[in-house]
This record gives sequence, structure tokens and C-alpha cells, in this order.
Amino acid sequence: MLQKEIKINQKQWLNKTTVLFTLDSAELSAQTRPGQFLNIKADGKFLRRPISVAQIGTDTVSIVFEIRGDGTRIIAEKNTGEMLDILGPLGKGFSVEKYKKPLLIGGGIGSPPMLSIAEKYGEASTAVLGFRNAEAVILEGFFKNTGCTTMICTDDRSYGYAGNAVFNAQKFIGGGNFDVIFACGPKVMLKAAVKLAEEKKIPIEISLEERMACGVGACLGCACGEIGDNKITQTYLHVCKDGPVFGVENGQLVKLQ
Amino acid sequence: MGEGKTLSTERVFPSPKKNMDCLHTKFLNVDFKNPVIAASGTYGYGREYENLYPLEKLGGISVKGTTLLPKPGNPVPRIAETPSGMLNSIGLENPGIDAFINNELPDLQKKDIAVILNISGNTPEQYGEIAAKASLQPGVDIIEVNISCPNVKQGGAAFGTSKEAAFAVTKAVREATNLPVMVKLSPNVTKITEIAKACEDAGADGLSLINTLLGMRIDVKTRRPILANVMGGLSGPAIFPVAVRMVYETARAVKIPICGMGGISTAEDALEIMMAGAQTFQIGAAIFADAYAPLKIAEDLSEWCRINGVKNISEIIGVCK
Repeated sequence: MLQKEIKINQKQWLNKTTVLFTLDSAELSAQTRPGQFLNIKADGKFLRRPISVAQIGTDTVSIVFEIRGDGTRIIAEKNTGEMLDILGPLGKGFSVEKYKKPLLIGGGIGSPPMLSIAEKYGEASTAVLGFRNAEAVILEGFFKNTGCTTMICTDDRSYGYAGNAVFNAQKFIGGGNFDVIFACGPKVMLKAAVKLAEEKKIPIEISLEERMACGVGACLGCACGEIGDNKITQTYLHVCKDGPVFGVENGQLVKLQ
Repeated sequence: MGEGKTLSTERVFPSPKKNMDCLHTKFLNVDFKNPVIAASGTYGYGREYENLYPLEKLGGISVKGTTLLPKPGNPVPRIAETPSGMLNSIGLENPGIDAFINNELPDLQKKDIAVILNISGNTPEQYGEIAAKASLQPGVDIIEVNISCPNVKQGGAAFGTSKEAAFAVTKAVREATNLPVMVKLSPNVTKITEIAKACEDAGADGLSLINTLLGMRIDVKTRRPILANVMGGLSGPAIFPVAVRMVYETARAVKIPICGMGGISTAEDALEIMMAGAQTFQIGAAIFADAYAPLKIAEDLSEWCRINGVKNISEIIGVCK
């Protein structure tokens, strides 16, 4: 973990509201695993913004995020050559060492963390990425470049396969011999992915998000319990430190080793 | 005393090891290598930020608010950003006093840092029981009695907003322990000095102030409160002037020492709160914006002492008349 100003050495708009930054730091990339995140300072805002890692290079880390409010807009307005104040890498990532043939399910802005997994597995991985419409589709070429079998689908049928990511994953999962599902996306998508994994008796790991302050497990702001509701159980799990990636067993979030 | 020369903004951090003896402070008869204390609820039990720097760089740590039994806390969202600050409604999530004693205290005890146990309860008797348990173990240096948490229904702020209740809780803790007792006051009152005096009369050794200010935000898209618990405690630079005012008033109303807090994020803020009358101070929300804030503040204070010819930082306590 480090807190440091790191140079943006590449900036690319993926669509009107989604941007990719490549950050120049061998120190950071050496520590970062797929599924981890950075807590990033937005100038003039009090709290940092948690943003997950999309690519881990030998001396770079890239992040992809969507403008959702003032904070993310301020960060997105930074340009190549400028510095970004980051705290990270934070949280627990996906168990990429444990499995051989993953099915990646990404929903919208939940797709970028899947890219760092696809980079790791290449042709051994399959990704089903769902978006609202053709305009929202991001990173298709990036996924394909890794060798990952990539299926894009849109809710409004304007691009790729019709329907949401889990619906389409369901169609392909039978012949895939997958030994794990890694998923990131909206809660309703994650719930459906968990159901699919249970039906097919495949382990699943999901990445969650929650409003947070510290990002390191000190403030306890980002508590999470059962998946998909607000119920806080006695388990004391927190998205930033125990997650953001969790296993799921019997509908309960499980901290990964 | 110098003319209050301001600090240079140009500096390297972390800077080479410096002699920071000028920051040594004795507070409630406990040695603090510097007056910088991590505030309860913002620093866990000191483990999380040790990935960046040793906990022992701080003068003290006030650990996460601890109750008799484990507490799961409030539903999420628990956090909302505000102009120059944030609202939180954690709801005192903690593993309980026994888990603290068994799992956290042994490691904390080994460190060269003052350990402040922040406690909370539903009745004065519960506060007393927690204090008694903590006193049986070596390791806790000061008990901070939280009578000001705005995020729990029972106890919490209910004790901090009435003279009688504040007196009763302080007395219960006083009778249960020989450790120094510091009562953490709520700013959500009409006259903080009345509550402060009640705590002093009940035997408190010191006071800490201010806890968060009760606040609320609404999501205009959903037309509902952002926080699941509707209201939460406001912290951060936004509340700093309120903290300075309340420390100033309280320091003039009581004889016992004060630990100041509320939105401190720079050494200049720390100087202000000390000049208002605080002997030590706590850093809270500022740590979320900059994990190194407590270290930078300590380093800048020692530099300020050097350029202003101040031999020990305690010389400035309450100098503002």
C-alpha cells in the first residue's frame, strides 16, 4: 500500500462519460492484483473516490471509470502528464491463482475489473459483458486483444447479443467447463450471477461497491452483509478491507483467503 | 515567543529524522511524545495505517468506540460527503470490550504510544462495567467516555445533552476505575460549559471535545435521506471553527485539561486549538483525505516551535485571551 502522487501517462475517452487513465508506477503495479482498487483524491473534494484497477502492466496500472458526480468529473478532467494522488492498492482481489478456466461476467462499468483477469488468463478465459446500449459498450477491443473469448451484449439489442450479461452467460456456460465465475456489476446482475453459479455448482467470486471514506478498514463505513440488501449481520464484513471481492456460500458473503 | 511566523509550504515529506522533543507533552499524567492523537473511529485499532508508517509516530490513539457487547452498527449507506467534510452514521460497530482486551490490547500495549480506550454504553452501569474490565488489564492509559455519539438510539448523545445524565455516567466510570477519565463532549447542546462542569464535578480528570455535529443530507433524485439512518455526525474542516469556539469556552469554565478535536487538518489548525486551550488534540476525518496528516502535523508543529523559539509546545496552551 502506498499514498503517492502518480503521473498519468495516457488518457483515453472510451465513450462520452467513461475514461481510461494509465498510471506510471512500477512500485504500484508490483503490488496490485486483479480486483483491487485505488482511493483517488479529487481536488477540492474532501473524500477520495474508490476506483478499481482495469489493467496491471509491468510498470503501469490503468483505471477505467465513469463520471457519476462532481468528484469523478474532477478526476476525469485531469490530463496526460498531470499527477493523480492515489492511496492503494486496496482490498482483496480475485483468486486468480486458484482457478484455471474462469467465466467473467461484467455489467456496465463493472467490466473494467474483469479486464485485468482476462489479461492474466488470455485464451483460457471467456468474458460476457453486458451494457445498456451500443453507446455504453467499452473495452471490447482490449478484451479481445488478451485472447479472451469475448461476448458483448446489450439490453436494448443495439449491439452484440441481445439481453443482459447473465442471461447470455447462461446460454454459453454449459459447454465451457468453467471452474469459476468472476463477476462485477450492479447488484441485480450479481444476484442473478450468484443464482447461476449455484445452479451450475460452480464457485463464484463477486466484486461489490459501497460508499466509503478511508478505504483501508479503519472507519467501518462500507459494511456489507447478505448480498443485495441492507441487512447488516454480525459478520462485520467491509467492502474496502474484507472485499471488494467476496466469495458467496448459501447466499452469504464469504471473505476470501 | 515569536511573532507567529507561518510555515513554509515548500518542504519534503517525510523529512529526515528530526528531534521532536519540543512536542513532548504530559496529559492526564500520561506521557505523550507529541500531542497528536488519532481520533476514535477514524483509525481502527491502529493496524490499518501501519502499512504506511509505524503507529508509534503518533502521540496517542483513541481506539474505536467500544461497548460491553459486540455491536453490528447501522445499515448502509453510512457515509455521505459534505462541503469540506463528511457525515457518518457507523452506529458504533465494534466487537465488544472482551474482544478488544483479547485481540487488540496485547499488540497495542507493546507499542510506545498512549492508548486511549473510548467507551460507550446504554446505562451508567454499563459504562462502569466496561471501565472496570479495562482497568483489570495493563495497557489502557486513559479512558475516554463517549457521551456524545449521535448515531445510536440508546445512550450516546442522550447522556451528553443533559447535565444530570453526564454527571451520572462520569461518576459511574470514576467509581469503577483508577485510570485517568476523560469525557468526550457533544457539540449538540445549548451550553457546553454546563455539561463540562457537571463532568468535572463528577470526578472527570479531563475532557475531550468536540464530537460530531448532527447533520443530514437528502438525495434529490430519490427524495430520500442519503444515510440509511437518516441523520449522521458531521466532521471535517467544516466544523473546525465550532470546535475552536467550544474549546475556548470550556477551557475558561473548567480547571481540568482538555483534548481538542473537530476538523483539525493542518498544524495551523492544531496551533489554533491549543491556543484556544487544548493540551493535546485528536485528528479524525483528515486522515481519510491524507493518511499522513497526523505525521505532517507533528512535523510541522516541531518546525513551528523551532522557527518561533518555542522550547515546548505546551507554552502555547490557552495563550489566546
